[in-house]
Amino acid sequence: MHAAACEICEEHVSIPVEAAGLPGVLGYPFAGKPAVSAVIAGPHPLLGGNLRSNVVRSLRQALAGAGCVALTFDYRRPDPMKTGQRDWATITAEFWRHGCVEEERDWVDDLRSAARALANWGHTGARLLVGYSFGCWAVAQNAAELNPAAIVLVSPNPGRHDFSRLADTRAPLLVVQSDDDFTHGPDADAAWFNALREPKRRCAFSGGGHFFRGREAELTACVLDFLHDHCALGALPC
Amino acid sequence: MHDILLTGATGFLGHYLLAELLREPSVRCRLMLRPPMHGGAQRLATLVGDLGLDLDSLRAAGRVELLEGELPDHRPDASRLSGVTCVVHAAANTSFDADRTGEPARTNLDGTRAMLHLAGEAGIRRFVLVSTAFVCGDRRGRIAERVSPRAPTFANVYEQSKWEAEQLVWAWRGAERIATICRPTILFGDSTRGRATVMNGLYLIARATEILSRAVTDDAEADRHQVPLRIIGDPRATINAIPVDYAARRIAGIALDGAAESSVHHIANPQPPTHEEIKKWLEQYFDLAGGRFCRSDWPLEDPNRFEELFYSRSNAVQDYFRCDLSFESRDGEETDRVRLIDRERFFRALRYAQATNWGRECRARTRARRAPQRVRPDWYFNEFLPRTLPRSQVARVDALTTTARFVICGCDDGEWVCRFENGELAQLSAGPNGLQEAFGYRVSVDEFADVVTGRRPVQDAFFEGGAEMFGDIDQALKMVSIIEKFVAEFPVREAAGRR
Repeated sequence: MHAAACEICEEHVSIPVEAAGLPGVLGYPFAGKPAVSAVIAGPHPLLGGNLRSNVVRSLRQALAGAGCVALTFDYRRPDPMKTGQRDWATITAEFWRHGCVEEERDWVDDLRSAARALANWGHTGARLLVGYSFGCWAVAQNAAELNPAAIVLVSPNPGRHDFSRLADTRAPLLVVQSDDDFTHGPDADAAWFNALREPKRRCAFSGGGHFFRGREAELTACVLDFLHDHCALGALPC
Repeated sequence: MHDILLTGATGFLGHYLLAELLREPSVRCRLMLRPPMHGGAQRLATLVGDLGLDLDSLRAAGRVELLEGELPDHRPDASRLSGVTCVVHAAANTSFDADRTGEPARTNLDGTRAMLHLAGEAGIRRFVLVSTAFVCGDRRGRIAERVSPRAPTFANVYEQSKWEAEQLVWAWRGAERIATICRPTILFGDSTRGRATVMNGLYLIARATEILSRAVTDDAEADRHQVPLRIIGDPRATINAIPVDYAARRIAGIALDGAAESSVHHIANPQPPTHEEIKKWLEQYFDLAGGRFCRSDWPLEDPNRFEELFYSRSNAVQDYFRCDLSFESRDGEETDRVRLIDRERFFRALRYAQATNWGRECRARTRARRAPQRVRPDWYFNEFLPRTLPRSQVARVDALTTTARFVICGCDDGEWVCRFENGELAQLSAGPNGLQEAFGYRVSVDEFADVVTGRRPVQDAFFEGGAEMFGDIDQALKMVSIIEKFVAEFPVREAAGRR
């Protein structure tokens, strides 16, 4: 059981990336100083993913309600005016054919920029990295460098992405998966999880699908349980 | 007797403007409110109640009449405007960023066009447009009170939409038609209580300073009186902000003056605060010091973390602090001798902003519920889609070869199957049979209308509403971003599709 959630604030922010800014939403408790910060990486932008996703928004609000400052963001959009960048139609065609695009590397960098921005804004305490769907891969790619206090992966897709870099960090790891995730089967999920390094925990949902639609409260409760157990969330300030 | 048709009465400036107009006993106001009208009426009652007016009593006395309408497509019937002597068009969308539905141009430009058309139909001779002083774009120095036929470079789409709306109004004027353009500068809290219902402009700078102050407090190594913040701008330049009640009083006076000819009026502060004053007041209010002005270009080179924090919250309005402008104001300069914004009024406005959580409480109390859009799915699939898709960027997605089914629940015969080949719509068939789909969407007719008009992102409809995917979910998800792109390019605006 957790203490009642704090009243939270949410603000639109701009995250510096090169000469532009990524749109972000920052959630934090209305009162008190957050001791823990979280960066939440969302789903693939070419699969309709953005910071309004129900899972991303629910996690941000739950973490802010638990006394964290939580940053969500939209990955950068293609800007064909810039040298060397491809336009939307070209990228979308490639994604339709192959299921991946070279711009995914930039989106991995965007997570690092968000974490850096959060630190520069003065939130230098323990850091959580949270990924949902494609965002899980972005978290795994950045985990060693960002040295998080804990890692949460919701609906990772090991059939599409490589998670071997998780081995480079010892941060406690939570993996949340559903038995009816359309991206892969439950047996594949369990086998992949078993091969991951310790310390780790798996939270298996029945019927949550890939999207946890209508199950957001259960999902966030499971994430907060894990974070409390691993002391990544300190005493709540409210 | 002044009989005025006012739009935008539930806006920040609009409800103050209504209160000022009604101070004159000979004024009767007809207010155009978005459907559902009872929601708008409740919101308006709350807003003007804060200003000491009782909307029910005013309606009972015949001084206020409510008309249903939503710009640009849904105007009141001209026959209901018999006796109206003047339109005061204050409805506006103040967003600086264009969205998927074509805002803010849709409200500011198409809405003005619709109101001019309505004024023409109803034989109304006077049209007052509430514009903005920042239609001057990148012009510098002293800005004249006239309509310039040459467009400057604009800082954002809001400025551009207002400039284009002015051009329409100015072209409308004639021997029997008087056009009046009022251009307020940056609106600020009212002069008595500091009350504001929308907190943009100077408030974004103040809010950024508050956040900076908290960050400095939280940082044991930072000295709050030596915060290393570079402020881009000239300390002696001014920022032309005005109390909202002053702006409303001036515009009401102009609308009721019985003008004989068309004119332009800056609603500006004759003695605006300088950047140096604003900085000093903010430092005093938040007990900070250390910021210094610099003439660097934007963005700052190697910003420190305090600068990143400050500019992350105030970047949207920085353009207005990097220039030095003054506004010709023939009426204002003669009459105003006192400072409209001084330290005391500035502090009062900040206290009000903090007490209302920077406007969030005002918005929560007065938030409007919008009526669902109405769009005929048969028109959309049979006419709109085949006509617009070839012109869309979707047609350039040459790998797009698939078949998608759309099931629109709550309407008769609501199924369509679209066959795409190399990005083109190769075949479209209605009904439950025929082509075998790879994937599909099931959505209510209201949800469908909200999506294709751009009022609701496809993803939100799926995650929060009644929309469902079936078949190959991976392809269906890929198609979501393609549909979003298409709706952003071609949101339904045409009245032909409405039912």
